[in-house]
Amino acid sequence: MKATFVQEIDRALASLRKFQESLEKGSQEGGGRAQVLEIAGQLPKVEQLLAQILQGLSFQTEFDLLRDTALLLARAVDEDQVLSAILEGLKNAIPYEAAGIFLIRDDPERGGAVIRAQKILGYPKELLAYDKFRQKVDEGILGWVIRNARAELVDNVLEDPRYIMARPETRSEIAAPIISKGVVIGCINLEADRVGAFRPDSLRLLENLASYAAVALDRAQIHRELIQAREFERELEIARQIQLNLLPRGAPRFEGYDIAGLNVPSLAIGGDYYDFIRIGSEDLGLVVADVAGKGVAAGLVMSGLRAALRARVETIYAIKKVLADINQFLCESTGADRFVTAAYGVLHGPSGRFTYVNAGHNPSFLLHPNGQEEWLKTGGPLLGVMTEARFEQGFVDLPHGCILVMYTDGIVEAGGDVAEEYGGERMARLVRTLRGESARAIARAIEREAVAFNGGRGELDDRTVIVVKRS
Amino acid sequence: MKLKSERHGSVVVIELKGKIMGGPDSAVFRDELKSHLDSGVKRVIVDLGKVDWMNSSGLGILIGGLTTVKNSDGEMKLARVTEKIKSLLMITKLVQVFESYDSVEDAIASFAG
Repeated sequence: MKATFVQEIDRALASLRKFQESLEKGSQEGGGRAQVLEIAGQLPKVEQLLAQILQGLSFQTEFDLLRDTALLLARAVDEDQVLSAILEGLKNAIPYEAAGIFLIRDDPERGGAVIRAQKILGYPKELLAYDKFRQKVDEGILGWVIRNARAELVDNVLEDPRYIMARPETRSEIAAPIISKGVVIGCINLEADRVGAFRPDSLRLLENLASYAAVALDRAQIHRELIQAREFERELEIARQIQLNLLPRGAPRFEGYDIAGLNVPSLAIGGDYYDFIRIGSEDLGLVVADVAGKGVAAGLVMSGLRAALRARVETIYAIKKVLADINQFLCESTGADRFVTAAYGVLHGPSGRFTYVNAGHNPSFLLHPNGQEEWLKTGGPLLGVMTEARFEQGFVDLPHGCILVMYTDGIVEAGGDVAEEYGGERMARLVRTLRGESARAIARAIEREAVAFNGGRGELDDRTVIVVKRS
Repeated sequence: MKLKSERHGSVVVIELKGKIMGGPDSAVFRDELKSHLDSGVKRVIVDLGKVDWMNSSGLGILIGGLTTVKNSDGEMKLARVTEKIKSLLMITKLVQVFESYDSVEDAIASFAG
């Protein structure tokens, strides 16, 4: 509206000037010359007045635009809406034929940063297509504005060596950098079909609008990061659920034995694993393992380990062969610094024979009914590091009234990073005092004592315990 | 974890300090090793005398380091292995994998000849 009004005044001034010229010519032929000259004499004053109104109008337009944009920014609307409003609003204050907001993006294909159209008006639509317009930041007038962090006005682009054509009709151009937290992130650019269409005092307005655009873009970025973080949390929760489902729901019923297992991860997703695997009707596989590291990566290794173990246990009975296979599988499927330590054994129910392999893991603890302590160390190295690792099988006969404890280093190393660690000896002493308790109570007591020993001083690792009592 | 490197002829001694618990330390140690290997130094001694604590994830750093060095046809040995790390190496049976020496001098001397 206001732009049209300004154009109308411009037109009126032009016709007045023409009228003045014709009057000056005509007046030499006589009649009312003095009167005409008097009117003509007032024309500069009219012109001056109109110029003042014009300036006031443009000031009012600028003010309105800044205020409207600020109000829009204050209401939490999306970035696209704000950028559109800025470009639309600018049309009233600084008439243009094409306008765009361009952002710097990293583009490995072009070997560095490029300028990409984020929002455009009046340009050919292809400008938004990724393949069509990827101007490098050291090219063009926009590149100059971005590199120098300075607004620029070009009266005739055809005479400017920096100019790269985006639309053939363009003759003049005005651009300002978009600066966020002291760093240029892009620019705002207006183009007109007429030579000298833009006024120098529009530079400041464009800079102001560019700073509004920066706020809108910043906020959109923060919003996106927030959404991503929420999405990540959701995925983490799903991963945690999957992992929880991989652990046994409860202890197995195994005739003649009281069995319990527990796992307390230190983060949402832990690297510890334990399992009870039924093999036929008389045997039960027992495993406690620790995947180095935590989080999703460790969880993935853990689920791979579980699948590999369960698949092999059912077909290969020789425990050392099972471990050798899993070692091979882990060597092939994980990086050098990711490994697993595991204690795996098969308990034959009727005889009480426990056949086991300790693969670089903390030795399982066996407390005999006569008070004798035994640490089950036979086995081989940790899994997933040495391809040619060999494993030995150990045998032990679990007597009636014994307690077997399998656990991870999170138990015995509790507190160790700041002072003395909880240690196997303390755990063994505790188990001695709990002989009359259920397997479940013993497992819980061990975990609780380890945590209490740490006393909040150190970083707790995942803690896993299996307790087997033979009645 | 803190880390300091010192050259002794064709050997580089990397001194690790503090707690070694995996995580970001892993990349720091690997980058340090790579920079030495890239500049042609293939004999590495890791001095563990000032390591306060190491857990199984920290052990992963040493294993990863050994693999990195071996893949570049280099050699990595340990010096001044503390009791805690010794027991970790015993439990995991990695004693077979890491050559270790009581002093940095002995470790350097082992490369000669």
